[in-house]
Amino acid sequence: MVGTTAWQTVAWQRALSFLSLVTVWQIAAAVASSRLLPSPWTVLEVIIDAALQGELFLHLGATLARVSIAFVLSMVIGAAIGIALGRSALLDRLFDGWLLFFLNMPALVIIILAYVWFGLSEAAALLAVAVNKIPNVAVVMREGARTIDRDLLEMARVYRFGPSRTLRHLVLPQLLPYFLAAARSGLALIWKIVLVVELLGRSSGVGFQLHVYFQMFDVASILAYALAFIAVVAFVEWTVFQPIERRSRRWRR
Amino acid sequence: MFIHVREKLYDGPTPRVAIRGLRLELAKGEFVALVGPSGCGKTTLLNILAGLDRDFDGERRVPEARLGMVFQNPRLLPWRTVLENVVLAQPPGGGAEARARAELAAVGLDDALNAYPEHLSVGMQRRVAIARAFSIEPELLLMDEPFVSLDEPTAQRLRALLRALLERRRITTLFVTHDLREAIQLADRIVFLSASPSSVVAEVPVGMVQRDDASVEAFRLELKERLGGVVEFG
Repeated sequence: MVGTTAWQTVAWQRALSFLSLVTVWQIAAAVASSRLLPSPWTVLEVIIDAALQGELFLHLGATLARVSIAFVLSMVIGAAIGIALGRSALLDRLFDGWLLFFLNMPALVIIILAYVWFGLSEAAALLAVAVNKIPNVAVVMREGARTIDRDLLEMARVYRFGPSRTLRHLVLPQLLPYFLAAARSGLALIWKIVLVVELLGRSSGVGFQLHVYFQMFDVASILAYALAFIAVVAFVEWTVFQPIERRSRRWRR
Repeated sequence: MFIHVREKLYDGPTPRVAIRGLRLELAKGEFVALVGPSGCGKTTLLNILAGLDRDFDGERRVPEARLGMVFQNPRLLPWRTVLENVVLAQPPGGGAEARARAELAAVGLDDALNAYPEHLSVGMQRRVAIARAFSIEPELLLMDEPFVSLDEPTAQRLRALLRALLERRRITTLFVTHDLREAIQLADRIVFLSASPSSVVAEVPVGMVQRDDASVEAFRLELKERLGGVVEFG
C-alpha cells in the first residue's frame, strides 16, 4: 500500500486479529444457538445494561481495590525478599527451600487456610492473594539481583556513592526490567486469584458476581464481567506498563 | 601516596602469590607509569590502592576521600545521562552540577551533556570517565589502561587531552599500561614490574622536554638497550 507506515500496518494487523477472534466467537455462538454460548452482541448488551444500573462499577471497583492493594503488597514484599536472596548467598541457601515450598503451594490451599485461620475477613482475603504472588515476584527479582554489575558496584565504591545513591542510581535501574516483568505477570495472576478469594468468602466483587451467575447458569453475565475486567487490565497495560517500559528503554542503543 | 604490598594472594581455584614485596611511593604531583607484562597483577595493585581489595599483607597510605579512578572500561551508568554520571560521583555539598559541567566542557563534551553513554562513541565514553575522575578534584588519580583497545588516532587524542588537563593542575597520578610508548609520552617516571608474583624490577625517570614521536621512539630504544636483561618488553 502506498503511504502506509510500519505503525499503521501493525495497527491493522492487531485490529484484524481482534476481529477474527470476535468472528470465531460469533460463528460458534450461531452454530450452538444456545443460551449457554451467547453471541458477542448479547454479552455487550449485558455489559451496557450492568453498567447503566451501576452494578458493574460497584463490583468492578471492589475487585479493582483488592487487586491494587494485593499487587502493591506483593510487589514490595516480594521485591525486598528477592533482592535480599539475590545479594546474599547465605540467605539464599537458608530460604531457597521456603521459596520452593510457597511457590508450589496451590493457591486454593492458601486461600482456604487464610479463611480458616483468620476468618472470612477482608484482611484474610488480601493476605491470601499476596502470599500467593510474593514467591513469584521474589524469584524474578532474585534473578535480577544476581545480575547486578560488579564493575559498576566497584565504581560506586570508589566514588563513594553510599548506600542510597547506589540503590537509586545503580541497583534499581538495573532491576527495573525484572520488576516490570514481575509486575505484568503479577497483575494477570493476582486478579485471577482475587476472583477465587471473592468467590469463596466475600460478598462483593467480580468473583462474587460470577458465583451468583454460575448458580443461575447465566453465561452471558459471566462473560460480561470477565470481559469488563480484561478491558480494565488491558487499559492498565497500555497506560501504565507500556509507557514505563518505553521510558526505561530510551537509554539503550 | 605510598604502598607496600608484602604479599597478596590471588584468590582463584588454585591460590598463588600475585604480588610479593612491591613497594611504591609517589611524590605529590608526580605522574608515574606502571609498565609490566599482562597478567602481572597491575589491576590487582590498583584495586588495592583504590581500597576495593583490602585482603593483602602490607601497608597503604592513600587520600581516601579524594581518589579518582579511570577504569579499563569506562564504567558509566548506561541509564543515566553523561551529566548525571559525572554529577553522581560528586561528594555531597553544593556546586556538584557546576563542577560536572565545567569538567565535561574541559574534555570537549559540552554538546553531549544529556546524551546516554551507549549513544556515544567509545572515545567519548572514555572522555566522560576522565571528566568524572577529574571533577572530584582528586589528590590521587588511578588510571588502569584507560586508552586500551582504542584506535591509535583516538588514543593519541585522549593522551594529549590527559596531558593538557594535568598541565592545568598537577595531580598525583598512577597510570597502568603495557604500552611503553604511551608510558614515555605521559610519565615523569616509569616503574617496571616483573611477571607474577610481581614486584618492582626497574625505575626510570623520564627527563625529556620534547615528547614528539621521534624522541619517544629514541628513548624507547634506549630503554630497551639498557633494561633488556631485566625487563620483558612486549
